[in-house]
Amino acid sequence: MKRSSVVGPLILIVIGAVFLLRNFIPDFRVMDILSDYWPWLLIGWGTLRVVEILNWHRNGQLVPRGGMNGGEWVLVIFICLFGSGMYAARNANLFRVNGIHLPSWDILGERFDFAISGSQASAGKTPRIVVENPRGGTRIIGVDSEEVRVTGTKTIRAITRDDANKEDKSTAFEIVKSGDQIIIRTNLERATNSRQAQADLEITVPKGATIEGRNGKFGDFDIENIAGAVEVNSDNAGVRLNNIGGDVRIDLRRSDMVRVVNAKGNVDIKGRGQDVELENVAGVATVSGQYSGEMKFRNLAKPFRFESQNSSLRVERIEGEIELVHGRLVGRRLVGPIQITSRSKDIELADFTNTLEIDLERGDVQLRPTRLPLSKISARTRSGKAELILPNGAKLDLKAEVKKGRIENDFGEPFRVREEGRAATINGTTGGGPEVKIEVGQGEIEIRKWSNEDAPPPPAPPAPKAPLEVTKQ
Amino acid sequence: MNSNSNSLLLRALRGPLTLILIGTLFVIDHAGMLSFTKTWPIIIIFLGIIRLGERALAPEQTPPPPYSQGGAQ
Repeated sequence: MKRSSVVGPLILIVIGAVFLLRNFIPDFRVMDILSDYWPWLLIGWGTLRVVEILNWHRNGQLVPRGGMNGGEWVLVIFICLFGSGMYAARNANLFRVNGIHLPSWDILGERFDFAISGSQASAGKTPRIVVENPRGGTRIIGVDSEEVRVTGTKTIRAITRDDANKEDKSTAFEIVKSGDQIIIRTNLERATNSRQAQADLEITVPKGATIEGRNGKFGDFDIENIAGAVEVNSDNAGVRLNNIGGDVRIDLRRSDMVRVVNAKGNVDIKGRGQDVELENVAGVATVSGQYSGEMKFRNLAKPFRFESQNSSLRVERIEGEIELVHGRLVGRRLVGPIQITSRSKDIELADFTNTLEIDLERGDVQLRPTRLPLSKISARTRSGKAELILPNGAKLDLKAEVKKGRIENDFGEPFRVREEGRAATINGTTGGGPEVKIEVGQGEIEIRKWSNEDAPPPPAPPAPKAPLEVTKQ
Repeated sequence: MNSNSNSLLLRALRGPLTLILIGTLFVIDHAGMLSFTKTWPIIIIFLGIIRLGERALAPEQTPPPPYSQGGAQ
């Protein structure tokens, strides 16, 4: 005889609600939330049980013997294993000191540290430097010299010092010159258990060097003041580059953050990760892959391209910034032609020039051109709200339609709304301007003038950090 | 009789309370304060305390022998 409990049905409701939320908020990160908050599930479950049992007891009903049956305990153990596994996987690269990883592998044994040092004199002014460090942080700085100098620490986890010494010997540090190439190797993959060893390197190189970081499994790269090209290839790395003269290529399977600041060449970022930040890039910038965190692109002088599974974005130049956070794209001071296509995104653009093309499956669009004369605009969303806020004296030829929904015209003359069944159109011209076309499948369109409630147009050049303020209705 | 039912109640609460304790230890672990790998013995201590409580609340009388000697149904 089984007593029915409210916990089972509640679990069903919660699972349903989580998936529903995910469907409506595209970037609702189920896994992240679960990995952080799963212990509360156990606490909630236990509390409900306590309340139930007290209730049964008060009503004089028979209480179950152990409070919980074997099957439930199996489920609890499963939740614990799964939850802590997820948590560990997600936070493996969270623990760090001064940007250097201290991965959470301190399960067995003690830590033994060994100093690493090596140098290569007369490397020339523009050597090619290859760094092979599978585990640990690598910091590279360009200086005025012709010498490559490496210092650092190797950390080996072992039960006894003898074991650690043995491991240290088998993973001897190397710095080798072949041709104009200098190879720096930590050889950690030779360790009996390569997860038990890591090396944090600090490398100074001639300014004109070209850097290649390869075969990385885990660990950050910090690279600064390099005139040559930089290439980083790793399974799991945070990458921070500052002041790079040549082209930058970053290819990661996983990363918590990629930041490139002050790059004179082209920047090409590929892979999966969380945050991406580009600032002051003089060359062509391309970002492709899947990124779940915040993306910021600021002051990019040449064409910029972003490609992910569901979205693509092309901009000729970013004088201001574009922020992409949680399914929302906010941009201002952009130079077109601009092209955005996406399965699901809310878009807010202000102060853009040249032609603009937006094509969304789902999402709202808010456009606020401030510079006159206007250029051709074409915005489509299958489902969502399109809002066009026009400055005084804007000249345009407006053609907008909603297949199912309504149109609000706060701009007034000369635009006229016509309704036919569930569809509506608004047309009109303010005297020979470019064509502005808005198509909404299901939703609404709103055309209005600048008003005091809108944020004032951003002052001309310097205003990078202030978040864009937009009144939404 | 009443003390017996209290003992049964405590025994029934044992499971859910353990569950809450495990959850709390993991919350503390995730908050970065104390690692679960260090705090887990608390669960055993807790179970011991609960058992003691059950014993204290259980009726004094000796329970009947578990099997009837005669073998009758």
